[in-house]
Amino acid sequence: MTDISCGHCLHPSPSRFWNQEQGARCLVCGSKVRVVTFPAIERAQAGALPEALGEESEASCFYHPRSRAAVPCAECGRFLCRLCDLEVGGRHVCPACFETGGPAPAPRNLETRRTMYDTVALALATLPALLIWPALLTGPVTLFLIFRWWHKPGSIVPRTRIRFYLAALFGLVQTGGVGFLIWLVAVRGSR
Amino acid sequence: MESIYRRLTGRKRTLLGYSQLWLAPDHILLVKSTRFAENYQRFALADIQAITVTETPLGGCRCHLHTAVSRELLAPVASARAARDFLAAIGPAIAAAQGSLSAPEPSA
Repeated sequence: MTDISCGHCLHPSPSRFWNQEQGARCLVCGSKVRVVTFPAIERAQAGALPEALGEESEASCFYHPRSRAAVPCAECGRFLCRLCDLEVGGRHVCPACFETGGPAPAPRNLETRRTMYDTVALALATLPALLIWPALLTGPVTLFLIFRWWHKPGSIVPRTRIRFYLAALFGLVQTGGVGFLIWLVAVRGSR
Repeated sequence: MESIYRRLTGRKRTLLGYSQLWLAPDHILLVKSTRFAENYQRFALADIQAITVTETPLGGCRCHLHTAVSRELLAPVASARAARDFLAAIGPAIAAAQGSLSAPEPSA
């Protein structure tokens, strides 16, 4: 268990101070600390140990050939002993698939990072426009990227598509503006 | 598709991004955004051992979440009111996840 400690000076908080509605003063720095504990703090933290192979014919762990396989990895199918078995959201995965997301796209509850394509598109549509000339290029590029990224997964948490719509609007305006300028220059040049 | 996440806190903004807490049926999600990307940390409700709220000198607070193997600063919980609302929201969820075990009583 990690030390339950003061958030200011990291001095361990004695258990007699836990679960007091008004909190208690830290014995070292005097900061008021409220500690709320939950039943898991009492749970035994013994990890599961792998079982040794009984017979040669038994399936063994991919990572520990002398340990009995307990479960296959839901991502790559490798046999895993109890030591290598990581249960995430009811699925059993091996450490390698847990780290990389596995051969298949990472399950939603394993993802640790997502790119916000709508924000990228919106920044591309607005920031270069301040300098006018880059907009010659970024307007059409924004429209292309919105088309390309429209179905990419966005944030895991609720988030509207307003940035995509705004980026498309700015991209269209820029592209239209550039087109109009080119037409204007062409018409004047022909006179 | 309806999201499984319910907002727990507002956004704690920094110069380059923000962080925010969300509640799912079986875990708390800490989102750390750099605007162009989001990084996610999940804390299973069944694994949460304690929450500490430490008052800071200027009326704010610092909230930490403890599990058996980690101690994580919850930056979005930065005021006494936010801490109170946060604890009120996650208390029942953690109780439901850890239900059968009894919480330790404060000793005299």
